[in-house]
Amino acid sequence: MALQRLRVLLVEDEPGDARLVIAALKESRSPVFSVVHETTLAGAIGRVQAGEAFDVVLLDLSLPDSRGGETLTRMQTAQRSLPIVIMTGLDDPVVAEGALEAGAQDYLVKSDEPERTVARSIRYAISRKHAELERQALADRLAAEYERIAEELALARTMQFDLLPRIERLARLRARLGLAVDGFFEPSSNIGGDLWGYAEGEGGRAVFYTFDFSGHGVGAALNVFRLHTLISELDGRIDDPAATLAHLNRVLFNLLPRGQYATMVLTIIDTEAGTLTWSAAGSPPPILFDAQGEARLLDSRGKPLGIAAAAQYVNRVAEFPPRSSLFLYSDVMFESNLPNGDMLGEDGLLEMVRGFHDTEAGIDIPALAGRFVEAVGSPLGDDMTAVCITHLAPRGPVAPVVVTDAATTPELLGQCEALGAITHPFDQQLPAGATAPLILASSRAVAVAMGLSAPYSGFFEIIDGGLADVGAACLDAVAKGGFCLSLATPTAWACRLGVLVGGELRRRFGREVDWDAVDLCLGELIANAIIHGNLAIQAGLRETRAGLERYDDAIRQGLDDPIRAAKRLELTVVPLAAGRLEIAVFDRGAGFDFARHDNKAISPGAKHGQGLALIQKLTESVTSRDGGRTIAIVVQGGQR
Amino acid sequence: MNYQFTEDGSGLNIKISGELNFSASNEFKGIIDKLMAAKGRAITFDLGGVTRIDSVGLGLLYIAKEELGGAGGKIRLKSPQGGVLKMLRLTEADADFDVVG
Repeated sequence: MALQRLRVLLVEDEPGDARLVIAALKESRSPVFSVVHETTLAGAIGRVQAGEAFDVVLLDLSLPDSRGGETLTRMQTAQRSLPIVIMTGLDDPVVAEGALEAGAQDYLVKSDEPERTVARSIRYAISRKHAELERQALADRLAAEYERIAEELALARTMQFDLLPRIERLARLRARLGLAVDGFFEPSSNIGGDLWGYAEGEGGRAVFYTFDFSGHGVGAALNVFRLHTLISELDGRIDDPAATLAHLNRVLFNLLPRGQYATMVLTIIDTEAGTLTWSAAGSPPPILFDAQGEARLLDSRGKPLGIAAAAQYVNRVAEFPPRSSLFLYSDVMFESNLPNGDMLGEDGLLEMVRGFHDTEAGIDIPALAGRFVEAVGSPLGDDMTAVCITHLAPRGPVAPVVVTDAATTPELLGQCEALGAITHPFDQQLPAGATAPLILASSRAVAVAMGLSAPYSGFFEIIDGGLADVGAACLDAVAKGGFCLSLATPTAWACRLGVLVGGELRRRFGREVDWDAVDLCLGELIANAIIHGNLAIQAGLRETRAGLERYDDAIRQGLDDPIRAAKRLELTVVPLAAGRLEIAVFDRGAGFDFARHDNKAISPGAKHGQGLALIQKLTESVTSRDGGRTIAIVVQGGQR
Repeated sequence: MNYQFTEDGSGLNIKISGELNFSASNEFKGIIDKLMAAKGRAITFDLGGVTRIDSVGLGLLYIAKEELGGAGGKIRLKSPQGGVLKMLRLTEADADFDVVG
């Protein structure tokens, strides 16, 4: 074993005491002590701060330049990691204990025989200080780790909230299917094992689910992300809840460690059929309010997901006509204890939920959640989820809302009001529960395409600060589930209208239509409305190369002429029964002499005057309205 | 509408892309002027890149045909797609032009 040498800083002003200690330390062979002696605190601190290394300090508290506890404090401040042994002149346990409490590692009473005690005391002080430093380092590491985990938990919590359906999606669902959805979600220990969600199905259907993993905290939250991903991967293709649960169960059985599982309920609401189909895996029983406001608990028996590989699930069906509501929730809502110690229970919950239910509006979820937390007391023992889906009663046609990015002048407001529409500023969120279709209004022609994409169903160009002269047919088309455009002539000329509208028709109305034929008709309608309608250019110009020159000049002049350029061209698309569509184009020209051209045959080789004949050959019907300013065609699905 | 001229041993090839419709007349005049300078050559309009056509656009092809006075035989219309091919058939333009796939 290597010879151990310990460096001792002795701070002692009494020469006799110092000599005794030095002599006692010289006696020791293992360890060997080398002693540096200072008679003042300032001298001792000077050495430490100059970087001299010591293993221990023997410190007399009564020095010429410092006394008592202050001596210890100043020495500690000079170097935190240095073990300190206090030397006291009196056998005064109060002073000694005070020094130990203040952080000294040991004390010596000078009257003791130093040769017996000083070496032992020094070794003891050093090992005690090391242990203390290690504990401190460990505590620091733990604190840092705890802080890191807390940060990650906060991030995970944010991510978990991000999984919940977004307000905008729910607003669209309300507008499209007449389903009002409201949810409350509060994980218990920061993050939890609950989630609810919704997926859009085909036709008039929407899929809703809630699930709850065993346990809570990080492990349960990771499982939440797993299951949410699995459901997202189904991409809305959920038409048999029981089969979907069986599928999710198989995957989770292979993914989850033994002993972890999830309860779940998966429902499909078909608004057209007015039905609710559900399948459950041991979830709390959903509460169904029928159209008369009568509530009942739905059967939710089924093996939780992830327990048995071959578990089977059943579909159950109930009526879900308008004014029905479905309430989905997590088990905390009936397993919680009231302040008097009683469990709220299913009956207690049912009674509480009834108090917040209304057949028209469904359940007031925020009020219910507030009442529940108040009744059982916060914090909750488990994650809490409460979701209500209400099939709204159909209302009469709703006036479209014109969302405008221009300053809403009184003039603009008045013009919209005259049309029977409500205006709303572009940069403000729509009120919750808005079910009306939206039309974008802007003076910027580049916004046309935006007005054709969700959530909008049309675009109004603001011309010369206004929307005067917008046709009522535009709003009518939108109210009937179609879309519309109302554009100034130069915009209609330049915005590749046929391509825009053709694309939107395909996107909205599917694939079972001969879209090539529709494109041809649309092209004829648009060309006629712009060239011969609003710009009032004679067709006969386009006969020869020289004629083309005059034709182009006429178009340029027309587009530059403020009166003709301000004329609107409007296009409406309205879905009719049996998958048919009416497409109409309305110009502000002199009116097309429809009767004169009606039923004309196509004349091969003609350079103009072919449009109507072409359209008639391609469509079910062509009609004229507004004195020949509107030409409307009806196209039938599946005529390829 | 955009166009691009190429020339090879068999004649002039004009590749048209975009919309051959009411908004294309100005560009199309440029095509006719170039064809007038090359009278007598075999002409092929490559319509493979045309996404939309209307009767104005079809009329432009007829103006080109007439301006060339039928010299050098029929104008060839190559690779018309979807609605373009439908238009050529409906208006029996496939009898006046040599439509090839």
